[in-house]
Amino acid sequence: MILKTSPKVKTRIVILCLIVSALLVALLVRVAWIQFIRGEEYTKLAYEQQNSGRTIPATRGTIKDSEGNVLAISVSARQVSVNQTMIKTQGEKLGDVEAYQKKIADKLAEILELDSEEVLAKIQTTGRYREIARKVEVDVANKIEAWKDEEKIKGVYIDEDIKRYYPNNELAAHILGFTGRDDQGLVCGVEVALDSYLAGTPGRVIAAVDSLGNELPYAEETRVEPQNGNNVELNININIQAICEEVLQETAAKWNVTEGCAAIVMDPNEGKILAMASNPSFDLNNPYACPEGMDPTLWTGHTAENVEVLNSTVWRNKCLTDTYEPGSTFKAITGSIGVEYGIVNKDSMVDDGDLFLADWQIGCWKDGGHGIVTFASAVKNSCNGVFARLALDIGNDIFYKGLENFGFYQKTGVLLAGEANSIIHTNPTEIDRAVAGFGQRIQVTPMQMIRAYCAIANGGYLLTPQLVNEVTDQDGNVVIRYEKEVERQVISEATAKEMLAMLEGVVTTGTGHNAYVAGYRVAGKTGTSETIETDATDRFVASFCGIAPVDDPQIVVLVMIDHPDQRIATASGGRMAAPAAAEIIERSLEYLGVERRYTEEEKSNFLLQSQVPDLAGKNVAEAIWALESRGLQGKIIGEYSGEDAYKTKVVGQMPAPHIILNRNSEVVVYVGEEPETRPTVKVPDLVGCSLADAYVILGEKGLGMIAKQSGTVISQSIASGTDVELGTVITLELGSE
Amino acid sequence: MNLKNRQVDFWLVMTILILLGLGTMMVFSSSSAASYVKFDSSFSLLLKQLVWVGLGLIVMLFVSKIDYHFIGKYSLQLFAGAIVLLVLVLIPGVGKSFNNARRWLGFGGLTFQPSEFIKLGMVLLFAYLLSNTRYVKKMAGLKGFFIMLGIIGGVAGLLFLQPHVSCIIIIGMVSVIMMFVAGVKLRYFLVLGGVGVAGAVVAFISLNHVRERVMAFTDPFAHASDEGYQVVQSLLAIGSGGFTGKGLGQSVQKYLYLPEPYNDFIFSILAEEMGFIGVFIVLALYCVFIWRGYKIAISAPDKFGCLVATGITTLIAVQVLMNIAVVTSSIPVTGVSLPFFSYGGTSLVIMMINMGILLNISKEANYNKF
Repeated sequence: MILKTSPKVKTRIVILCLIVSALLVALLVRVAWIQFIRGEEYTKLAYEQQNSGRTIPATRGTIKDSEGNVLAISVSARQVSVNQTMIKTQGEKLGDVEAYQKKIADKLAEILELDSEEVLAKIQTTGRYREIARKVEVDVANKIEAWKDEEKIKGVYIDEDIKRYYPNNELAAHILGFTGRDDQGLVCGVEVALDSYLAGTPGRVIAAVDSLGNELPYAEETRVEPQNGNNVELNININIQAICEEVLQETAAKWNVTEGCAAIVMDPNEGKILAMASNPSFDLNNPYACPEGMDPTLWTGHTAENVEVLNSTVWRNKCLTDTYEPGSTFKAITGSIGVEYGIVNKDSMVDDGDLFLADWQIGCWKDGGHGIVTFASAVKNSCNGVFARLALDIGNDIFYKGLENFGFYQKTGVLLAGEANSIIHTNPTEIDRAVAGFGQRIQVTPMQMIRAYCAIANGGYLLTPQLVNEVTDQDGNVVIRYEKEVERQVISEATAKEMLAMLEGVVTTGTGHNAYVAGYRVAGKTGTSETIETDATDRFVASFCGIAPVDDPQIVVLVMIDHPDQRIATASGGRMAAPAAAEIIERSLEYLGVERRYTEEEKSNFLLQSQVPDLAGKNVAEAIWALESRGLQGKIIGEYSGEDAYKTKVVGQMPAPHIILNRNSEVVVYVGEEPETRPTVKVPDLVGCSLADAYVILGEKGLGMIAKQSGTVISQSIASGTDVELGTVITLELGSE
Repeated sequence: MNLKNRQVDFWLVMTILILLGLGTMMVFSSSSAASYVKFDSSFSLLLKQLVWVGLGLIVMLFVSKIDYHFIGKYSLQLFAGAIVLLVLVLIPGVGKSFNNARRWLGFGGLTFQPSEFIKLGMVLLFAYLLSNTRYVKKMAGLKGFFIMLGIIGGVAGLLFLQPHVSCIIIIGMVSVIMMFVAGVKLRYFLVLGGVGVAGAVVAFISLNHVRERVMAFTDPFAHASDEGYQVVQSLLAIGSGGFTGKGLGQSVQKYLYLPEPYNDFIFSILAEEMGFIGVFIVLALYCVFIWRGYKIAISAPDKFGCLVATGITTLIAVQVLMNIAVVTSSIPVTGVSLPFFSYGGTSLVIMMINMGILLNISKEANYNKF
């Protein structure tokens, strides 16, 4: 039987009808909200999406050194992307989507050396654009292109990309920095600091859309060409940079340095940074490589921990981001302030006796001090007592005002990220000031220190250290030029001259004698500091800050050695940093073409002779001391590191023991294992050279020299062009000019 | 016997024809690009759709001639047949699966979803149970209430095995609304509401894809590359339509930004091309349809006709509401097609059977009584 509809049912249907109508109205309101309130935003997003297409990166600007050598350059590469929707559609047409996706994934993975599962996962996402690989070599991309044409593959794109290339690998790594996936500057260096100039504006490929839909959006493509980036020219001289890095590398190995070393070379007259090296370093073309001391099997390079390790070790630019206690190198600053305010001059008699201050006793590094000496002699001998008293005499206000003038309270303004500032006590006590007088209990960056020395070298002007010379556009027009920038005059020219003269005394006859370079007058100051760190281990820093040549300063050099192995030798700026600085000064000035001017004494010194010691049975360290004590240069050949300098034995030498030859001649020492064949060199033509030149030329070749007269070379014992064993001694006959 | 209006309902027929016309036009506009890519012809999908629309109209005309009481007599059998199909589709080798869902049965070149039949089957079954004197007393009590819930649960279970969650939601809502209309005590629904909330919570916690979809719903732009992709593309399409739209055929989002724009997301293309005005007109047409549908239900000569008309109208209403709510990101994404608009062959024909039944009821409706 069939029932009639009751009024209750009818009422409920009316209620239902009203609810449904109300919901429809609600959805209409929702649509209105989307179209009117959010409409503008969504329209913009839709437009961007529909017109963005694929981007073509701009070519990043080139970075060159002061002589036009290319340090960083962008080379053409390719990027590979897919249109997942198109692949899917094409797969459907062919009857098996998954097989088609897999086929593409496998081939791309094979050519690009990727994981095919990962590529497949990317292809199987929804959307119209997915990047597969960036910075692909052109010939690799060409293989994909060929395969695409051959198999008529749809939905795989090859577009331009840029790959950053650093021709010198490790050289100037901290200065340059490196770029990331999207070619933007990362982490550090000029690549970050000048990113806005270098980057340029990327171009785009815009998909053309036919309004009737008769043609595919992919059928036509509109290109917006990229705007290439600007070029950067640095003040860095890559040859001097290379010298610094080589010297640091040797120094680090020789003294088994655990916390790294830093070296800076500046032109004191213009404020240009000629070189800035930090050791350990890294390869710019492979910045995420496993640094020494880490386990390569666990290393990925991209985890947060790994990047943290890189940041604190190889990526760290010690010249800028580290602070250290400058130790005695700081005495030049205290001295300058003292001289400037007339408190001392080079001839003042000063007391180096122990100083008792509150509960503290401040004494010289020499037990009992040097007694009553002239101030010049106190500088030469690095008397702590004298400088503690000087700092006290200068007085609180002038002393700290002086430090401020020398730029120790401000960052130097070098155009790189991550520069640290000094750590100087606030509300200083007398003790603080007294020890600060000889560079203890304050921390500064190497860059702040060398900048202050530049002021002493250039007649008292504090300059902004300039890393970059200029930025130019693609047509060579100057976009920005970094001119010489004088911040202020810190000390008078007279004070600067007087200080410079006293600092020369340090090198000629004082604690810095290891920085002596024959032919170039070097002024400088050694520094050895020891900080009690919080973890109860002492931090030793050996440093040297030098200026050369004294008569017309061309370069200022700072070498800082952080934590040399105390088991090899007690940290000493004079022993460790001064020779490194000397080598940098000598080779840099030579490179810059600064002529050597020998004093009469130096000329006669060339004729001093020594007997070659018998090195058989000695270890490396003993052999080096034996040669150095006789004024001979040791050239070590063979594998050894600082730590086993005491274990590695000498297995051979050239020339043989007991031969008498001129001082500073090279003696070749073979350590560890005797090589199968000993290296040879071609004898150079020395006829017509001065004695000094002959020294330099033979020293560079690694040959010994016997000469008994001064003047010009008339004949040589072995004809030029002959192949001889490294270390062979050449006897020279010299005559009057 | 009361006075009988021997004509089918004019407003309803007109509304159906206009909606179907607009729908076919939108299928053409939205499918042209995809159609070109898939079949190398912009008209390929349109031509297919036109064939189905024609077939659908013939089926509607035919069914509208059959007295719905005749169909009502076989309600149980038709329901049982739909259940058999639902079981068949689950058998591997018989049912066809696509995108990890086993929803299709095929005969020759034709495929159809048995879940389309079960929608009608449920409407007929519930109308029968709630109006036939043999059952109506039993069904009025709490026991009957649970029996009906049990039927819904059983069907939902079969659908869940496919799985076809959106169909479960539609059938659940339509069945419960029919129970409500038929006069089941309101307090029972309170219990049901509790169970529903609990079920939703369980589904959210235990089913990964449900949770992902809800999360994507709360912030589609944050999930624009995966779960939220379609919704984001849909919002961009609707949002860029504005008041008057870009004009028919001018949608840009249909160029493969929106996947299968002629299916579930056809409304977004409508909003993009026809703007707010187009949306307003279409929603107004649905309003007219619903108004006529429920009016027919109220005016139906007997309770069975009333409930069948209510069920069919509600079925359309629920799908329209869910579809538009999804594409406007008002509820989490679930695949529901838009009646009269979305592309679809057999499902369109099955819907036209529903329309035929509704029209037949309208013939016997006595509007004067209301």
